[in-house]
Amino acid sequence: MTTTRRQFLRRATQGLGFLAAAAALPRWVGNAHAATLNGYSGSRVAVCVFLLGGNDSNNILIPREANAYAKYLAARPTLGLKTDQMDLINPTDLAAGSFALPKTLSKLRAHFEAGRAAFVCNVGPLVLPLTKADYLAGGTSVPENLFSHSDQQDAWASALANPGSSAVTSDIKVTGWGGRTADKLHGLNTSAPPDYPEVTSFGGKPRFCAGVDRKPMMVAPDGTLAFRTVTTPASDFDLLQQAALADVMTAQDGNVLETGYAGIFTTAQTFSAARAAARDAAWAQLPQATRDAIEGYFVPTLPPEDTARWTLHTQLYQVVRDLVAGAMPVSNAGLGLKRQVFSVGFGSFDTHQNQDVDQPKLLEQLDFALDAFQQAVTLLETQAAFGSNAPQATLFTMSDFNRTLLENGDSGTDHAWGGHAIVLGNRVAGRKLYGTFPNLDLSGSLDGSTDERGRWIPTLTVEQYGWTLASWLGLNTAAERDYVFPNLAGYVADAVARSFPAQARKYKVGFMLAD
Amino acid sequence: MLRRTALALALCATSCTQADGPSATESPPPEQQEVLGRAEQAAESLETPSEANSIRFLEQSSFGPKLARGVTPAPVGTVERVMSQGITQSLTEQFALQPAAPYDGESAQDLGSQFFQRAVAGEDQLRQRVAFALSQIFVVSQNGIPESTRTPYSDSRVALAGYLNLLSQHAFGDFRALLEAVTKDPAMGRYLDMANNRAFDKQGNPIDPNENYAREMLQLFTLGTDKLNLDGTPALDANGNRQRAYSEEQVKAFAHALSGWTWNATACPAKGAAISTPDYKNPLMPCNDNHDTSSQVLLRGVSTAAGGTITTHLNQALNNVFNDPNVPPFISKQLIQHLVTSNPTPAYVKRVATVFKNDGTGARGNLQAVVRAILEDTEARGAQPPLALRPGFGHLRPPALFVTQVVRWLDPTLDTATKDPGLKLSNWSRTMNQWVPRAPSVFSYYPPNAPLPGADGLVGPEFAILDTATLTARANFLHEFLYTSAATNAGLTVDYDLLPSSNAELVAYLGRYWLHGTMAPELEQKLLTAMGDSRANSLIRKKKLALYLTFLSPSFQIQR
Repeated sequence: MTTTRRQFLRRATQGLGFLAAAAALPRWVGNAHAATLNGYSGSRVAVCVFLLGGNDSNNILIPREANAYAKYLAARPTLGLKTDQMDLINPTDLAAGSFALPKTLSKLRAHFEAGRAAFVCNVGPLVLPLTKADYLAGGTSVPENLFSHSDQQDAWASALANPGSSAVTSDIKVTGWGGRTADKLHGLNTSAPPDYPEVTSFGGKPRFCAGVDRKPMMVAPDGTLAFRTVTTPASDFDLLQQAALADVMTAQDGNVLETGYAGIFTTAQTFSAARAAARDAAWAQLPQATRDAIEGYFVPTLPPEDTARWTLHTQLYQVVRDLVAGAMPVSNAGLGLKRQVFSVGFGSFDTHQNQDVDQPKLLEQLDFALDAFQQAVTLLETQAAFGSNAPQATLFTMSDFNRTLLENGDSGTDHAWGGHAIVLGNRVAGRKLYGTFPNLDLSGSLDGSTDERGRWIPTLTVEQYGWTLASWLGLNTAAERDYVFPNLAGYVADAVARSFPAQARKYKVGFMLAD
Repeated sequence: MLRRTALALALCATSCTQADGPSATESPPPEQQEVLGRAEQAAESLETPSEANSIRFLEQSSFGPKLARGVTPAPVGTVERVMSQGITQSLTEQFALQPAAPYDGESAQDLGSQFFQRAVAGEDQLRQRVAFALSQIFVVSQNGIPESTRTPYSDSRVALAGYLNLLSQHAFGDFRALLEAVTKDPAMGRYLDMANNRAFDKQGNPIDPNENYAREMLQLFTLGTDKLNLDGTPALDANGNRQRAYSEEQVKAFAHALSGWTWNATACPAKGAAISTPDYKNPLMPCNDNHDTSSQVLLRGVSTAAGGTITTHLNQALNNVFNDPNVPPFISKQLIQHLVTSNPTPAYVKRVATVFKNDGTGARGNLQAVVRAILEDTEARGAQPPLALRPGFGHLRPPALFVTQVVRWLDPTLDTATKDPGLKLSNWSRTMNQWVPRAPSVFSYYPPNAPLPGADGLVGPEFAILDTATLTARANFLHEFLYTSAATNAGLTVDYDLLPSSNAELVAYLGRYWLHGTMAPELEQKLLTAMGDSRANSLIRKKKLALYLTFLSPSFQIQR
């Protein structure tokens, strides 16, 4: 594939005799050694779970301190969880039982209490750290198009809250932080076949996955990425047709658009076959008992009528299968990747109405799928077949935005801003709340809310959240940081200059264990 | 002269900010004159287009060329008819055609199905093609219209049917009228919150109206984000920096100027109140009580009248934006991108934008004249693009057009009486990430400025939705169409006997028609080699193999 990519670039350049400058070199050329495997020389993967529609995270982490809980209930007479609908948690550094999770997240709660999960509080898209006065003053330091689904999904996915006013180049604006992280991680992966994509997506936000140079494997949620054949297994005619199609792709009329199309085709054809083969072969390297156990984790225990339309656990099962293929050494018929990023997603979290009925169902699905994934990864970590490349996985959530603390008249909530994210994995410094939980008082000065409905002004930015994960994967230098998270340096500098709280003055949030 | 201009502009297609550099008036060096190749560049008249030129024209102006297959006179939309009428008259004929029937939101037939049925079988090809382009600029998504229990019909279907009819009706009309119709349209009113956008709360206190429509109207429907020259390149300030086309303050000003509209109803609501029952069959209704009548400073220092009424202010606001110098290049370039090529030269954009500014009779925003200018331009016409532009010319066929162009070339009989072929075609397009009319966001299926992978500085809008999954879906759509009974089961029956039977004749046919004479010898040879392989062991397999490979070849996928 290296050859193909070089041919691709050469052809692209040849065809561009009329361009003033030759095509820019890929981002990884010249800095392939900046990212490192120092954190862990085996396989590491980060899994983004996008909760589409704007998850009401005010109802996944509830303060139980009496005063705060009273304010919570006052704002949510219908939607507020009663004591019998929650279980207490005991976060490190806080009073025992100071917070609670809904019973619908009981499996996640167990992981939290065991130190494998954490919450990152009140995180959201920001350009610069904002006080209420800054927010009211407006201007370019306030994220663009707040409260808009598409824009805020893009802001989370791209780690760029001001695409309109930002001076970064358009290639940064149209890509995501998962993909740009892959641009920088690429040098760490010496896979077979070479240049296997770092990012694989079964759902979520496509933008998150797109790098400037590195393009993702986009796969249907059922895990299938394959060219149809007339018969299964492929007949002689099918083999002829596939080979002829690959051959036809090399006829590009000296046209750069044709080259671009053929390049993506070659990625699809080359890597879909490699992926399919590695998925089967690597899986077969695992003991039958391991495979059976993993399959079992993903079989819902609730009645089929409740789970027939669930999609998250099936996507995360596919992540497991691709993770196994990726982490399995080449010598064991795997792809031999060191670093991977996955994207999955599900919705409908846009609970303007009937949230009391709908959100618990969504959380049940989330709870089941996250737990299944965590169990699977824990089992995989000890499998001998991976040799020195045993996988470590960290799963994290993103969502359009949090929702208003104050419920509306339809048993629902409306679009808001900063919310609480979940991180889960054996390398997470768990049983802890990171960041600052918002003040739920809607009657006072409302310093932490855009208005009286309870829309939290984030106290951590998406970029701090993302950089913590990207660093764990191996990104290292300030140049890498500024490339993937273009506003982060300015954010921290401004926080320092204006004496914001300590958490705003750090590039990272401390939710990953030190290596 | 035209040739020299094109070359000079191509030389600075991505790096020059001014279209008319001095080189445009100088003779090219001798070696370039040679390269230009006189025979290929000989200008074809608009009256007597060659077959290849006519096919190119139909690729740009319809949902796919068709052949007359011996029917005389040649039917509308066929290559033979364009050749006999000429380009100019073909356009005139298309401008006059009306849809056979409007979109029907109360029909059981899905709107995507209605779209594809019109696209593959309708006569008003150019109108539908331009309306489809407009639907990707003035975006309303069926998925963005929630159902209410207060209407007796499906809100999303009725809203979108009305909206698609509006775009079809205005496709060759006046841009200012289109902008006003869109602004008052109930589907748009819901999609971007123009409906019930009040300037006061129930206590009568002034509040900030929702900026959603005002912002997108400026950013996506009229101006874009940067100030533009007439040729579509960014207008730079004295320091060489791009300049914002509008400010946040101007967004707010437009939001105030456009405040106070609500659903059509028998009476306006009280100040600060809303009408809760949508009416997707009538335009929004002005309610002065909910309008901020104060003067607002719009673009270029123009203000709305203090104390003006809601309708006066809407007129003033729309006139203000319509007359902005950004509108002609911004809209012209996008229409070129949808119809002809992703990276038009600045000179091409300028020629079309000049017609947008003034159609020759003094009228601004005459879309019929703009469409004619786009399709009669030297960069669009000829058997092939101008030689110097070929390395970067064309655009990836978006999924919907890929589907319709495959279908129209194969020319199946359509059973719309007992089956729903349109729905099948729509679902195929959906697998490739273009689910008509359900764009995922107001940014449409793909943005006009998406970069072309691997070619720094060029854009490839349609590439934004081309990835491993959707490219595989392109191949699998074709595979399913050719090799399974899916098409027949959906009422699309192809007679493969209409295609030549010998390998050489079929390849020649595909090159002549489907690639309008541009099939490279290299590609011809690859097809012949594949068809000659013993594993292609029947006539029908040889044929289908050739169709599969040609439709998926880079030469076909990029409409040039």
